[in-house]
Amino acid sequence: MKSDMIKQLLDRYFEGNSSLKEEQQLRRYFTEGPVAPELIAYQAIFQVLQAEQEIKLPSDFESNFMKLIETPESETKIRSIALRRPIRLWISRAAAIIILVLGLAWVLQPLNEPTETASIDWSQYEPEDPEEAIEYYKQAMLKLGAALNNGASTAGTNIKHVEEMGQFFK
Amino acid sequence: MKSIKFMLLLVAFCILGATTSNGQSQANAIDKYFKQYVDNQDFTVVYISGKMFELFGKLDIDKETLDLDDEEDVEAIMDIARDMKGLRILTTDINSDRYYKEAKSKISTGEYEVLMTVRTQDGDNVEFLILENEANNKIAELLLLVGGDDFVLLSFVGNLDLDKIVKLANEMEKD
Repeated sequence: MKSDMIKQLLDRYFEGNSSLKEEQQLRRYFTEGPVAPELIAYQAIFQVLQAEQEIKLPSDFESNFMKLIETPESETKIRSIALRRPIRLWISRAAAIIILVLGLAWVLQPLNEPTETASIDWSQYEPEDPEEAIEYYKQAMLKLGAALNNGASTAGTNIKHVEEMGQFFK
Repeated sequence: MKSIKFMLLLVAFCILGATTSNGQSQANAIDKYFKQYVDNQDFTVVYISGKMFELFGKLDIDKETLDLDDEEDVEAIMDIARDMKGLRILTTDINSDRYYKEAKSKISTGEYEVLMTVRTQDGDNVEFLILENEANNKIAELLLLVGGDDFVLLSFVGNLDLDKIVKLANEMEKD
């Protein structure tokens, strides 16, 4: 009779129609009493359920947990995380600027004069005396002017012709 | 706000530093094509730097110091000096014809534009070449090759205005 009743209860249980009281009856049957051989397959389920019921939180769990939260160690951790974020932001900003500037410099480079650096040390050919330097400069300018005048007169035209040529460069 | 200002300052400094360091190494035809002439003992080499040209502006220069007859010549010359960043003079009286021909063939006409080629009856050859600064339409380098008894190679580097040079030629013509 008992196993028939248990079978009915099991059916209700697996259909999800059992009441809390009926479930308690089932658990008690499978953990306490002798189990009918045809029902032995279900025993394990209810033994596990019963065992889980018996697990309880230790009584000091809550106070331990609260202690963990409130310890100063965790407080400093929270603060250091809050500090680190803007620092990291700074580093990434700085890195972005450096990349930007390097990129700009790289892009602008070909626009400047060709950077074929002079291996000639020109300074050794420079007169130290400004008076001497200006004399060389004057001679160079006179040569330039004379060559221009010479060229213009040889071509049989006025220097104006060269002036007209100059218009191309405006 | 403070950090943004700081960053802008940083960027400005970096760009400033990048551009000024680039501007110092100015290319010129002599470094490019005539390196071996500079080392050659046949040549007399003179160089006047941009710093020296800056110094000219501070000196009190009149026609007596330059040994010129006309004050206007002095003015025209000193006006051009303000645009100058470097002057290189190479000259020789040894094998001048050979050097002239060699020099003429070395210059890339793709880069330099021939402004004028002159050959006079007494055998003097003159070649004007210019390198245009496309950014401001001025002349970045004026190259003058003179052949004859002497071979003279002149490289004027700067931000040159052809008008000023023509003006100087005109002033000289008047005398």
